[in-house]
Amino acid sequence: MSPILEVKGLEASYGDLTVLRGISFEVEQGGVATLLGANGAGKTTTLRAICGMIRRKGEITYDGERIDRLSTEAIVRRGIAHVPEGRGTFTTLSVEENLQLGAMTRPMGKDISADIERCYHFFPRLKERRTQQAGTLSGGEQQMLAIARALMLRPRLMLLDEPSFGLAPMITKQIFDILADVKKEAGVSMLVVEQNASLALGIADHAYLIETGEIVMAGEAQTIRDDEGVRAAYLGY
Amino acid sequence: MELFIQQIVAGVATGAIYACVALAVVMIYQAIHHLNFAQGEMAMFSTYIAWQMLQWGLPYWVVFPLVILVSFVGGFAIERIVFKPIENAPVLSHIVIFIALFAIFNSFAGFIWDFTIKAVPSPFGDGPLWEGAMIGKHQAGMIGVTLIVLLLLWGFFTFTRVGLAMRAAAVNPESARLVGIRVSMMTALGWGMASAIGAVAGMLIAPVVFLEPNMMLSILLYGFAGAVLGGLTSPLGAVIGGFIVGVVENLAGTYIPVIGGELKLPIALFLIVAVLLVKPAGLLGRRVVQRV
Repeated sequence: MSPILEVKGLEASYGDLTVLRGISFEVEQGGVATLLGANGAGKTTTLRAICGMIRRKGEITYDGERIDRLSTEAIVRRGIAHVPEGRGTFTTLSVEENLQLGAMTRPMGKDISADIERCYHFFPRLKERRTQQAGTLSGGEQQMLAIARALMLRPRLMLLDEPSFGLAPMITKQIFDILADVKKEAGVSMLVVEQNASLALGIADHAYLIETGEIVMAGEAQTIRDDEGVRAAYLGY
Repeated sequence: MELFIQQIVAGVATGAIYACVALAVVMIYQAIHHLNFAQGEMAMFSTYIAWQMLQWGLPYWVVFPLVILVSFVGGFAIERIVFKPIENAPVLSHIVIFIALFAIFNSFAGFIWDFTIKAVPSPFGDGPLWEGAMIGKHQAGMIGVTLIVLLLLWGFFTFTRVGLAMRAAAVNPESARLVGIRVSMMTALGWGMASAIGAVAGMLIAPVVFLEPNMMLSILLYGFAGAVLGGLTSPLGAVIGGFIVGVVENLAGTYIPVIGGELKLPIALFLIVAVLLVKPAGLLGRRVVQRV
């Protein structure tokens, strides 16, 4: 089967500062790939480049179609949901309104309320807080809301930027458990960017190691996990 | 006592003018997070278009919706043509354009329709609401229309998808793009709606103050005061703020001898400064609460 996302020679820069130096990787249909790397390696930039939120060069093919010239809105409409770093919730809107916004590109109808219920099933905490302003949620709840909102798009590919960011280990584990459920139940492909390598490798099928804008290692998640160098540098044991 | 009540009622009547303008101000503030100095001039220009159509003999209730529509399209077009290209420019560039628009509308109105004042009829008729009533037919109509506009806006933002999308685009433009909202289209819509509401305000105000190119100057200032007082993020707050400004202005003019008629305008400025010092979010404005 051809991959759902194929990136070839992706370059991006902020002004004079080159952040991505031609990286290539792919995400399989229904699979989870992870980009690992230290702070400033270019992980977030990669996701932003795929979504067209920054200028980029190179080939990005999604589901057989080139998307590297499309606007962010057009890319989202094709079923790519991006959960940004820092969550990006609509802070002054209610939890439920945030979820409705996730389905903005879909035709109106009953299945949207059904999907909201499904999100509450994945994240019961959100149901308790459905009328609350999103900005008043705790960090973990906001991350859950961001993921739930992405699911409302009924995405075929989810881009997750640092889902463990600023969260307690317990909450982080919960969130990754739910992501594993989502992968299994909804068959959503995912590209996960993480600093917490052991968490990400737990859910990923493939992993790419990125250093100063270049992919320095690629392979099955298991292989990467067993690699001596990776273990010393990223897993810490 | 009777004088007091009379002054309050009169204040509410002028307050309706400010409330209407304040609504337009809040509308544009939601869309672009700036106050548009040219808002009043755009409303004045719309009113001239209405006057012209009335001169051509069209009936008032045809002119009214038509002018609202034309103003909506005009506001939308201004955003697309003038502001879209400078989307990412610094605030100062926007302000320069606001001032330019102000001058353009003001001079063009004078150029096309000259500077002599013109009377615009009231659709609600003249005279008191009933025999011996303290409030006139037009004032009552104005209050009614303002409340209807408020109700429509509330319904639009609460129950429609586009309304929700516009709110989302205002809160967090980047995330709005990530759920597929065309943010710049929402901004243009906001301009259109603000311009349409401004047209309603202009057409309601003109029978009271007479139509001339500078008619909105001081009224816009009171409108700003009302919007700031009520909270720049809340349409309901803007309307309440507008009424309060009207009442305060009237009472101060009557009871504080130094103020009289001449010093009424500084009251608006005083109110703006006082609100910003004491309660920057305004009466009903939403303070952004965020846990991290």
